[in-house]
Amino acid sequence: MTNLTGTARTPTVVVGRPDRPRPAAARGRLLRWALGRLLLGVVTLLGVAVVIFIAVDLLPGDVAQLILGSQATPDQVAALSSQLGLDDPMIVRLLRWLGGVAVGDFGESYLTGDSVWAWIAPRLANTLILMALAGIVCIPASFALGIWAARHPRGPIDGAFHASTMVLASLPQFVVGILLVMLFSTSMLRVLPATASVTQGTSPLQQPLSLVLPVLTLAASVVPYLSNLVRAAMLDALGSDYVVMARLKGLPPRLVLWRHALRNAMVPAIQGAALSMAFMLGGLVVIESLFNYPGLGSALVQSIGERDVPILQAIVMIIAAGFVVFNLIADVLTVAVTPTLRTR
Amino acid sequence: MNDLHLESREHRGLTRRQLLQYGGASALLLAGGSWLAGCAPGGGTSTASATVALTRGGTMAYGLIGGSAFSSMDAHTPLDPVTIQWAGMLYEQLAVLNGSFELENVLAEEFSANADATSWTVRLKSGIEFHNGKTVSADDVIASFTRVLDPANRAVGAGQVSMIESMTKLDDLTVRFDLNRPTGWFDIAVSDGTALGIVPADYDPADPVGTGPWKYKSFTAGVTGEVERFDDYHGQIALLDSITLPIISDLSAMTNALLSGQIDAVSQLSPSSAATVQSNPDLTFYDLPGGGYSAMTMRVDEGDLADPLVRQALQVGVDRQAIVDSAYNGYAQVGNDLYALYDPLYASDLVRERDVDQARSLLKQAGKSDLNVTITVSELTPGSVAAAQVFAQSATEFGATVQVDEVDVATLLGANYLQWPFSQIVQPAARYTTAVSALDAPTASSNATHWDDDEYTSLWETVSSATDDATRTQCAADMQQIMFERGGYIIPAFPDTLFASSSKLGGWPTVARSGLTVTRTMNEVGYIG
Repeated sequence: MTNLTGTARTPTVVVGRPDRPRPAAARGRLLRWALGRLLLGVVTLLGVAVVIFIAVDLLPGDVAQLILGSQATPDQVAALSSQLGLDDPMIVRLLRWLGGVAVGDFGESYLTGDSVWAWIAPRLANTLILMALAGIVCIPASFALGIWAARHPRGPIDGAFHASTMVLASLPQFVVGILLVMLFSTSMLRVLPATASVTQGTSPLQQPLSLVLPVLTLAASVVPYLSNLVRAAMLDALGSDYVVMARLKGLPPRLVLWRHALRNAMVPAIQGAALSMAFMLGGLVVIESLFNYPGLGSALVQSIGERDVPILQAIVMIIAAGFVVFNLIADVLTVAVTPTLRTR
Repeated sequence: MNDLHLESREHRGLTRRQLLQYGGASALLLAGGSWLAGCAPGGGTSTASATVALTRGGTMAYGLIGGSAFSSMDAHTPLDPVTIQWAGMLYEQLAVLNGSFELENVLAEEFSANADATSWTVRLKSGIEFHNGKTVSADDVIASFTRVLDPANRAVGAGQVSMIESMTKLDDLTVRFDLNRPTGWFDIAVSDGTALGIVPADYDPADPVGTGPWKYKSFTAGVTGEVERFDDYHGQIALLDSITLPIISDLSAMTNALLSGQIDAVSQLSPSSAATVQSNPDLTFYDLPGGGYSAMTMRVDEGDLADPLVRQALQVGVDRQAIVDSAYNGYAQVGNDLYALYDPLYASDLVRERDVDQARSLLKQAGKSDLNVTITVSELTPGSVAAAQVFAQSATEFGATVQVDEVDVATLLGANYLQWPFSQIVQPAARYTTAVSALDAPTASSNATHWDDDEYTSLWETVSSATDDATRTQCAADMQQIMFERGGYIIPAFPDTLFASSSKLGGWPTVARSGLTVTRTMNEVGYIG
């Protein structure tokens, strides 16, 4: 690696090598940084837990009354209230719940009495499968498209790319979903199933064809956004001084693109990809509804509608944890790709 | 503490009562009516079952919508469209209201009452078997009703048969019901709806056993289930070998599954997808007028709506045809604010003609020319919110401002349930006496309008205890006249049931005014040979 690449971001030419600490110290720094980020993540989750607990507590209606219905006698409501532990002051309930979460016990559903985790786990698995497939499809596709469009900016390919991503990004998810269903499933071709129902105990991967349309629908929302990020970052990188320098040196264009420009353009795209993936945890309500896919998003909406508080809180915590984890991954990848950050 | 814990578990198993009752009511609402031929060119035309030869054998996937994670197979808590479907397939009652909305004996051979209708005797048919081979006897009937009346079971039908004081076994096939109030319509009380199935004396909902044409095979709440033919059924033995009942949470997803061939029939269609289904040659579309409805309820005991002139103004001024056309795409019959559409007692002579000028003058008379009310609604059934919005729009024509406050179902049926000044309820097709006892009688459990009228109540007592048709008809007519003049309901439409099946299946009912006929007659459905 040349000095020029190592000091990619600064417009001025650096003379001589920057000061580098010894390797062992650098590793120690990295470790401390990672631990610090983890701790920050835990603190964030704690904050989210408190906020969601208070917010749900402020929801109108007495939960026990809501569960038993208006025909219930005051005695029945009081009995259920005390049995669910709703009489205790909020701090006590909060600490009790946090204590449970710390050891992995999310409690029981108000409605069915079943363990919250037992109910959520299969739906979380379904959502993770969908996320993984979407990630495998979307991220490489976005990068490929973004790079391709950036190679000849303002040319015909770029124009077509820009127009089509604009159209796709402005179409709501359910419109894209319904169009795809009509195209492949019900009206024009009949090659793909219209719903992706998952029988209890089985995995969605056992019916791979049924996952094609949901993933395509998801891709139609994610790829326009990500690929535009990649394209913008690539254009930015391709316009910078070190690339000009590399070209002047006579390096082949492919090397310039892949070895030099891309590494620096990746950072915003990595952040964008991480955010997109994290969002998928709880944000796929439309797709889950349209394709009857039992995932976490529809579980979240259902639990709100039914005021099933333990399930609601557990799902929110999972989503928050997902954001923390994906942001951490994004930061680690960013550091991996940007060497200067390692030594700062 | 342990006992309380267990008890509350049971309670929780039967919770969301109103929430799901409305889901159930909506299923009944959307599943009643007589059969009009499916009519688009190129679309599947439905033929009368009498002229089509059906083969025995095969299976079908029948899509259901609704239900929840704790839907159970309990015969006495059919709360949502899923459990109502299952209850109608696995279990049977002493009698039912058939497709033409007439009383039809199923397990009972004969109903007879004493002179003053304080005691009814029911004789059972002999030789009817449960799914486990046991023969139905008087003990099972008594055990079933005892179970329904036990408050711990929170049975849906408990209010409907609350007049039962005690039951006596006269012989192996005969039960005498002694009532705590004279009830001339006891036979209807035990037949209306689907929540009074007869189960064995040792019934356990975890192992559902009934007398219906279908036997329980499997069920996963919120996901799917399967039934198979009961070969020793006492009536017409089912043509299909089995039926799977997948549950799809979204109406358009279910329609798509039907269009792509993933399922063979659906229990509900939204009015907006009717055209797509009708134009598909592989599907047969059914439009069945029915007696279920969504009513706007005005509290008569407080607020601006307590003045009967104001209520009349709204009832006279609402544009019913617009609601039929906009909210239900034309797939509905116009309503005139009276329920029990297909009951012989229904006062079909009482019709509201829309009169905007009269509405305006009524409001002026009441001193409320600038009336401003808020109606609280939720999408309890497809079209509920749209109906309220069309109503609000039509109200501007006579100077009233109606604000539509849409809330989620849990809020509507939550703490303020039955307390909203202006809201809505969904009701299944029911006979007049059952409807009054649930809605407007002193013992009513769903009195959303807080109706309490002495003249009405005394007429009701006469109707309820009458044993002759003439008295009953006359008093019911008077009661409906009172309702028409000063009641709190706006019933603008009776939506049709819309459903569809693959063109390869035939035998669906020709007349289905009760929301339950389709469910109960699946034994007559088969593949066209």
